[in-house]
Amino acid sequence: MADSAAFELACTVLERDTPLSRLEARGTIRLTIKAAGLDSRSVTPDQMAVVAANLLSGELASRGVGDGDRVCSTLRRELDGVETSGAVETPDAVFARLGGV
Amino acid sequence: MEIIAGLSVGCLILTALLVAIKTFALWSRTRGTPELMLAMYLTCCTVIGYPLTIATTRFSPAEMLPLHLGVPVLMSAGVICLLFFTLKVFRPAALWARVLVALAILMLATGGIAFFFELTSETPRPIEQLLGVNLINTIPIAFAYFWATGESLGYYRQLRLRLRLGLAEVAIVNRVLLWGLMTLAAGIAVVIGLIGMVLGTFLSAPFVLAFSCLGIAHASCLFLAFHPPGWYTDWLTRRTPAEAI
Repeated sequence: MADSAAFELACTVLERDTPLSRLEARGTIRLTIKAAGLDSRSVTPDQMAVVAANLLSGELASRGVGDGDRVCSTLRRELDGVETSGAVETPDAVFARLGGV
Repeated sequence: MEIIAGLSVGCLILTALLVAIKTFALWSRTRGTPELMLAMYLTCCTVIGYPLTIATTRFSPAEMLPLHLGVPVLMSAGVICLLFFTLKVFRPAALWARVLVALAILMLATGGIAFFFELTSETPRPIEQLLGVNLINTIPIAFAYFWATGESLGYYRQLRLRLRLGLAEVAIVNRVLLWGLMTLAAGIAVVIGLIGMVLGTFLSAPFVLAFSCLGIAHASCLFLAFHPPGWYTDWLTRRTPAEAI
């Protein structure tokens, strides 16, 4: 299963706007979304925006990227244009439905 | 002891019946596969299968052969529904999961056929002596429960992290946890049942007490997960995400 569009965009922004290499950028995003309990294959633009707002700046600072806040703002802005692909139903969506019987 | 056992069985069957009816009703509106699998699992294994399994301890195969032949079929059907529920909800695209489900179904079918031939033979052995057949039947059932537990509790761990960022709802996180605990209780009961059968002490007091406690835990988790009373949902939503995890 391929990584989600939101994940790919976040990697692209980090690679473009920070000194991190492609591999470092992808690793940073992967670790950050994992710390948020998310998965690179299913993370949505909304979830990625929350991660960018709350966790990513700190992760970038720990990797010596100084202008993390600016990068995160850019990422959140660009995530607005990404459409959510609703291909696979997530387990929490199923359990939400089952509870609303 | 008998009162506790009766209470446990009654609570579990009634709770499963309630949740199964509600889930069938939900399925009639949504036509979702997970709803159907959950409702079928509860109906086959708990609402009908569980009391009939207890009945098999009261009547020998010679007295009631159709009961002894029907129960494994019913329980296997329920377990297969549970396997498909876990597959569909947690691992819809994983090839390894499909292979494991297929293997489990194959084992259930093999065990069922072996059980059928044993019971319909001229001199059927008592169930306590059918260790091989019992193992073939029990392994996929235990796998179905413990796999569901592993997937649920693993997903619960992810949801806890999301909760801190406001990316998950407390009620849903709790429901996933309760489902994991419910399947864990059922899985432990299956393993204890096998041990009891091997030792020939299936109906001894310690085993009945263990089954009763696990049954009450099972029923409580099922009820709170899928039919939570108002006070419980209020209590959950009052807790901050930090407290809830």
